[in-house]
Amino acid sequence: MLRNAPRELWVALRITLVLAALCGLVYPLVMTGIAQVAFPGQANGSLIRTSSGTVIGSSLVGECFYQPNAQRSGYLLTTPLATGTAPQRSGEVFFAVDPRYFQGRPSYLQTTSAVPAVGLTAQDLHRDGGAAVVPLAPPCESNSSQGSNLAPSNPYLIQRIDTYAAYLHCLGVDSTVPFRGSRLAAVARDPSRYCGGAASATTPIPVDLVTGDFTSFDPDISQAAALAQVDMVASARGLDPARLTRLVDAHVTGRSLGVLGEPYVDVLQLNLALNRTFGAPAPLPPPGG
Amino acid sequence: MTLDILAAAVTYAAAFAAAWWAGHHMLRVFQGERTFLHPVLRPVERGIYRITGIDEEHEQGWKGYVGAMLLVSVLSLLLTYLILRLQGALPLNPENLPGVPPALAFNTAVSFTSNTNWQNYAGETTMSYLSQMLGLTFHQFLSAATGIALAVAVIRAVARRSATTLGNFYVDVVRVTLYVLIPVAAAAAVILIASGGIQNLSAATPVTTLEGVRQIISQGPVAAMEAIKELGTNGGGFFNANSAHPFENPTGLTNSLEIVLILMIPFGLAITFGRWVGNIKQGFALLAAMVVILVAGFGFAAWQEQTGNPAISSTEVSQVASATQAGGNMEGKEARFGPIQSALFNTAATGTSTGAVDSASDSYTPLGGLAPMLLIQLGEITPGGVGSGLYGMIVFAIVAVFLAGLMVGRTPEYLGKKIEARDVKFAALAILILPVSILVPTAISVLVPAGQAGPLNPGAHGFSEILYAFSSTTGNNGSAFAGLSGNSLYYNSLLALSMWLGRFIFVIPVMALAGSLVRKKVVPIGPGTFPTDSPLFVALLIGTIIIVGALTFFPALALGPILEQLQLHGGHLAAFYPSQGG
Repeated sequence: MLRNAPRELWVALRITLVLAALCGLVYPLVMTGIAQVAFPGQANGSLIRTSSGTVIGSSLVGECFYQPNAQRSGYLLTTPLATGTAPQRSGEVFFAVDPRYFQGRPSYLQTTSAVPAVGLTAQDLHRDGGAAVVPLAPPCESNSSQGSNLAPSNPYLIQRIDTYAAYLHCLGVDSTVPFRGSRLAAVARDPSRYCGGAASATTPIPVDLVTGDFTSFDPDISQAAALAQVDMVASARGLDPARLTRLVDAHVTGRSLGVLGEPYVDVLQLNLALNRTFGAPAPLPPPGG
Repeated sequence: MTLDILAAAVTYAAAFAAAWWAGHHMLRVFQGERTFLHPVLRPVERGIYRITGIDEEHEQGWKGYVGAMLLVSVLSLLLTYLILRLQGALPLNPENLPGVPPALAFNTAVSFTSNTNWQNYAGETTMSYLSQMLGLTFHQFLSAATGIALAVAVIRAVARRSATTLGNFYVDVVRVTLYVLIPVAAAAAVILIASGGIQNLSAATPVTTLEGVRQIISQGPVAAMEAIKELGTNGGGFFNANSAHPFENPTGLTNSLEIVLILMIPFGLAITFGRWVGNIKQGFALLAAMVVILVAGFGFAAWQEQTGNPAISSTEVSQVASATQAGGNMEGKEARFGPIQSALFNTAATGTSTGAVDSASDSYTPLGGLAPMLLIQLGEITPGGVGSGLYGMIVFAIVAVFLAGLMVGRTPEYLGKKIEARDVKFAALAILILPVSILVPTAISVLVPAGQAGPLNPGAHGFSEILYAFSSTTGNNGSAFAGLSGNSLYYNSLLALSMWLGRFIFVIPVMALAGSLVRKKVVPIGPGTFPTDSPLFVALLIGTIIIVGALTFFPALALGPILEQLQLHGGHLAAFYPSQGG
């Protein structure tokens, strides 16, 4: 065998290069060609365009429905809200939800760097003395898919879930609504001021609405998670909850072939339908207003 | 929930049907018979032999076969290393990504060459499209073809009588690539694309969302890679979130399709094996052992994940399944898959050496995460990676007949070949590589600062992250408890070593065993022959696998997931890490 070593090496090198060209260039490029001809919409990201042709997202990628320009001021959510004790700064930066839209799933992903796209600055990272601050990356940044990877036994995960659930309860998700109408936006921006007291009568929030997925931009929520938000959205927009319930029910996508996967509601599609049916809401007042 | 169990049953049934076809198709391909693809592809195959100077009729002995395999593996590893390092200067790089740093490029090249696909990087922000295609997708074909070729060599060793050669490595690799991997992957890629998987060469798309926030939507040649990623039990995704990413795995249908792709060749090779040795029941026996352990692992994980996380307040949050929600432990899981079908995917991908995930294993409940980890530690044989699963299973079958022989005091036989001391030593040597490559570096890592710096989560779960990493790399799985920061010089090097041990050092005793078996005469079946196609043998084989795996890994598992489970259900969370917010 050693006598033939140069020949063996030459054969191995040629077969490596031929297979590399076949599998690494011909195959993916031919598939790209087929995709672009046969399924251009899907192959390019299932993009959604407005009537004027501007791309506003993808039907497969979640968007965040937070208050515009509000992220910068940072919202130090207080804990422990759930137990009704006095508000304390936990150092968690949450982004203020916009109660006029149905919310997708949160992200408990920690970010260690500033995120200029949403106005998260280096200063925000060190708010409250630095060490205690654990900013959560906003789920809007879909160019980097990442989950929190927090273990079920990790106290940070449990604290975040409990805190976010309490926050949503305060905004009227699965709750006796404590705040109504335009004030909801202000409540969302400063929960430590409004939500510190004992929680009002509530029902448990569907788990998918208070946990993050593995990408941090899950486009979908369960039907239960959408229905839980009907009161909040109806209140913030001054609409009849019954009409919103019908809208949600009409946007449930069933399982593939009737059995595979889970039924879900695509949050972006639901919110687009919401704006189409009831009109797009006016811009919110700036933070602190 | 009933529908979820039905979904699992439908998916497994489809996997068996696909495996039945693939098993018979591979038999024809490797025996050189014509298939329906030959009119088109046979000229291509001939052309490849002409360009490369391969003699189709020449056969190699075990050393020649392994030598050719190692040569191609090392050369292709170097090719990928170069492409990754130089990607900044190469075409198809619309995001202008710089070359991959040396340690990471080396780890990645070893990872994809060894069919592991462990990823210490986020694909969308690290790899150019050329790197994804020519550097990585290429290896997803080649490492799969290599694994299948090695398994076919082992099948020949068992099936042939008094022979010296095991086939021609190059011919086996070319044939399986042309007639099996590319056609099936192409067909699957079309379904993926039609369902929403992307396949383009465009730069990422910036959009302004409904709320006026800037968002970047990733693009790239994803679906083609996704198909071979699953079919070749590779697992390395285009995106960091792997098959949880909606562009890799957009719907419930694609989730099940990907599971079928993952299982079809590992299951199918058991059928090929049975047909080749002339008794399909021999193949069914191995298949039965694979299926029993895999389905048990799935059922256990699904039950744990659907039960949810006891630490979450039940008055604040509902984890109970209902008509309008899947419920369960949803952190790290996609709403469109839910806990049960997520567990179905992750156990299929860990029972094989795929390592793709559609949900975050790190966020699974302790015992829900134990199931996939144990499936890896059992040796990646239930049903294991393409090829490696079958030859691993045959090693365990030989140990099982040896144990049976000890019990009745007769010389053990497997398929008419006498199993002698030398053969059992080779089998034992192969199996011993698992604990050496998993437990030793885990123990070192918890002792040295560079290793301790890895885990994200505190307490017992942090230990699980390290244990999982070395299990995954040794088993050439590639999935991770992804909180572990593996992209350090320490972990890049040690994990690459585990991958190399688990793939190439494991193969040498296996092929030596094959070289020994192929020379043996076949002895006629006598009254003292222990039948290896009976339910009794299946039970013995399962027992052997479980006992070897459990004895080896139970103490380590007790320190990780089992301890975490006891603490969690006892109402104790892990302590806060001052340095880590998770």
